[in-house]
Amino acid sequence: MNYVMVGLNHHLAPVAIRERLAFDGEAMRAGLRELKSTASVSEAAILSTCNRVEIYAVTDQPEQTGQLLTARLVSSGTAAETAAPYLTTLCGKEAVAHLFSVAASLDSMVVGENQITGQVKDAYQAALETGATGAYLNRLFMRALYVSKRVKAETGIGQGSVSVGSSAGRLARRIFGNLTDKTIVLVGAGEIGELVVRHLASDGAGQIIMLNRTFERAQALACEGLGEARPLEELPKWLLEADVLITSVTGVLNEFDPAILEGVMQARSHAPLFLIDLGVPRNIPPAAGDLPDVYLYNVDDLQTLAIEGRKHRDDKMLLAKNIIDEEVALFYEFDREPRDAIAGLGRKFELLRRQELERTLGRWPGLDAEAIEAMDRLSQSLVAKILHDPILSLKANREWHEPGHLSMFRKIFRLDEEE
Amino acid sequence: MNFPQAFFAILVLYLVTTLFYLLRLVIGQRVFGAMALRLMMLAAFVQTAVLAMHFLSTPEAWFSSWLEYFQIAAAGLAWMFISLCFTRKLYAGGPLFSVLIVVLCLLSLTYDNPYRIGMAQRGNGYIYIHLTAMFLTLSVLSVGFLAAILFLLAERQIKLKRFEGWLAKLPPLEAIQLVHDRALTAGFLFYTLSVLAGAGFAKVSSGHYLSGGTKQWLGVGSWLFFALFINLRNRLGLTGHKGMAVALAGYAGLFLVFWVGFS
Repeated sequence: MNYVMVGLNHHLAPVAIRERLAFDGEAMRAGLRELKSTASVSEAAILSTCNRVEIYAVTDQPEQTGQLLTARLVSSGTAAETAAPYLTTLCGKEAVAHLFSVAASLDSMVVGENQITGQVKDAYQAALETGATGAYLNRLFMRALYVSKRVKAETGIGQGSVSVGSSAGRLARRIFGNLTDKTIVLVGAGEIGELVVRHLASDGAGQIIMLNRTFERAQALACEGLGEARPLEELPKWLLEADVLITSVTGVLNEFDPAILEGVMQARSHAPLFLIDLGVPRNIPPAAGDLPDVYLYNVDDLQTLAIEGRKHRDDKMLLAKNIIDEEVALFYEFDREPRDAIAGLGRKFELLRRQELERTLGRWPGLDAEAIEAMDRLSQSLVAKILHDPILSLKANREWHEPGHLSMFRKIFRLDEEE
Repeated sequence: MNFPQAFFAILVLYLVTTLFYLLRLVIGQRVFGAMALRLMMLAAFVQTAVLAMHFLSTPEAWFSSWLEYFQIAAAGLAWMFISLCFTRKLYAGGPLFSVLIVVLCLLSLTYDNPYRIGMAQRGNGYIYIHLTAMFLTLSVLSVGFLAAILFLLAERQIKLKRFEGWLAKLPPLEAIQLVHDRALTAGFLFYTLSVLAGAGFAKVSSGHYLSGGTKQWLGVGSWLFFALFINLRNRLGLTGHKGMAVALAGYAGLFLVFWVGFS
C-alpha cells in the first residue's frame, strides 16, 4: 500500500482556478463516496480550503491512481480542464511529507497560521464520517496533526505570524490610516472572516457589523462582544455605511455586481470602500475592483503581503523542515514497531515454554529422550497455537499499530519488562 | 552680503536635495531619503535666514520684486513639506516637493531683473496684498497639487496591489486626502483675498474692477472653478480618485494664470 496526493494549491494555481475545483460540504461527501467505490483506491480524504484542493489516497497502484485522481479532479469543476497544468501528484514519502508540511502550516500562504490545522482536522473528520478512511489514512492524518503541534511547539513558527487578519489590517491602514471611526462589515460568519474581524477589532475598529444567513451564528459572535449581529438581508443598507467589507460566504453575492455597486458608490458620494473577498469560489466579481474608489482584494492578494512576514521566518522554516524530515522517517520506521512487538511476544513465550519444560523435566528425571522430545514438540505446538490468533490480528489490523494500542499490547504481555 | 549669490547657493542646496531624493528612488536605500530631508531642512533654514537679512538690508520697499515672492513661496513650500513629514509622515512626497521648490528658486533668479514693480504701482497699496496673497496661494495650492498627484499615485499602487517600493511608503490615502483638502481650503482663501485685492488694484489704476485682460478673466474663471468645486464636490461625487483628477485640472488652470501673469 502506498500514499498518493493529487491536487493544486496557491503556490501555482491562481484563485480563479482553485475556485473551480473547490469542494463544498455535500460535494466533498459525494466525492469521497465516489473515490471509496473506486477499485484501485482503498482509502481517500479530500482537503479543500481557500488555498488548496488536494486528494489523499491509499492505493497499491500509485501511478494508475495518480492519473485517475487527476482525471477526477479535472472533471469535477466547471471548465476545469484549464486546471490540469496546475495539478501536482506526489507519492509515498513525498505525499506524507507534503501533508505534514500542510498541517504544520509551512505550506500556507501565511506561514505559521493556525487555520490550516483545523482545516486538516475537518477534512479528516469528513472522510472518517463518510467511511472513506482506514488504518493507513487514520494513521497519516493523526500523525500529521501531531507533527503540526510539534513543529509549532519546537520552532515557535506560529508566534507573531503575519496572519490573514493582520494582512487585511495592514491593507486597511494603507487606505484609512486608523480604523477608530470606521465601520467594518463582515458578511458570513465563517472562520476566516471571523479571524479577520477579530484582528481589525484589536486594531481598534469603530463599529463592527456581522451579517449572516444563519442569524444565530452572527448572534453567537456578537455575544462574544465582537460586534453587532444583523440579518443578511440588510446587506444593501450596510453597503452604504461600510468602510471595510469582508465577505466569506458560499457563492457570488449579487449586491457586488459592478452595475449595482456603481450606483452604491454614487449614493456613498464615492467614499472609499475596501472589499476583502475571502470566499473560494469568490463572492465578489473581480470587475467590481475596477470601479473608482473601490479597492477589492482576495485571498491571493494577501499572499503578497504575507511574503514579507515569511522572510523573517527563514530560520524557523529550516528548523521546521528538519522536524518534518525526521517525522517522515519515523513515520515509515514506525512499521517496525509491530514487528518488534510480535518478535518480543515470540521471545517471551519461548522463554516461558523453556522454563516450564525444564521445571517439568526436573520433576521426572527418569524420562527417556523420546519422551523429552515429544514434550518439547508438544509445548512448541501449544505456544504456536496460542500465539497464532493474536499475531495474525496484530498483523492484519493496522489501527492496532498506533502507539497507544501497541503500548497496551506490550503492557498486557509485559513485553518491556522482559526485554 | 551678496544676495544673488546666496540665493544661488540655496538653489544648489535644493538641487543636491533633489539629487538625494532621486538616489533614494533609484537605489532604494533609506539613508538617501534621510539625508535629503536633513538637507531640505538646512536649505529651508538658510533660505529663511537669507531672506530675513535681505529684507532687513533692502532700503527700498519690500515685496517689490519677483525674487522675493518666489523665494518666499519656495521657503513656504519647504517648511510646509517638513511639517507634513513630521505630522503626516509624508516623507515619500520629498522628490515632488524638492523639484517644485527648485523650479520656484530658478524662477526667482530668472524673473528678478526684468520684472520689478513700477514706481507708479508702488503708490497703490492693493498690489502688495494682491501679490503677497497670490504667492501664498501658489505655495499652499502647490501643496494641494502635489498631494493630489501623490494621492493618484498611491491609489494606483493600491489598485494594482503593489506593496513594495517608494510609493508603498506614502501615508494612507485618507491622510493624503486630508492634506489636500486643507491645502485647497487654505489656498482658496488666499486666492480669494488675492482676487479681491487684484480687483481693488484694477479699480484704483483703471477705474474698473475688471480691466478685461486675459489674466483677469483666467483668474476669475479659476476662482469660480475652485469655488464650485469646493462647494459641490460632495454633492457631485467628486471625491476620491475623480475629485483629485478634477482638482488637478483646476491647479493646471491656476498655474496658467501665473504663467500669463509672468509673461
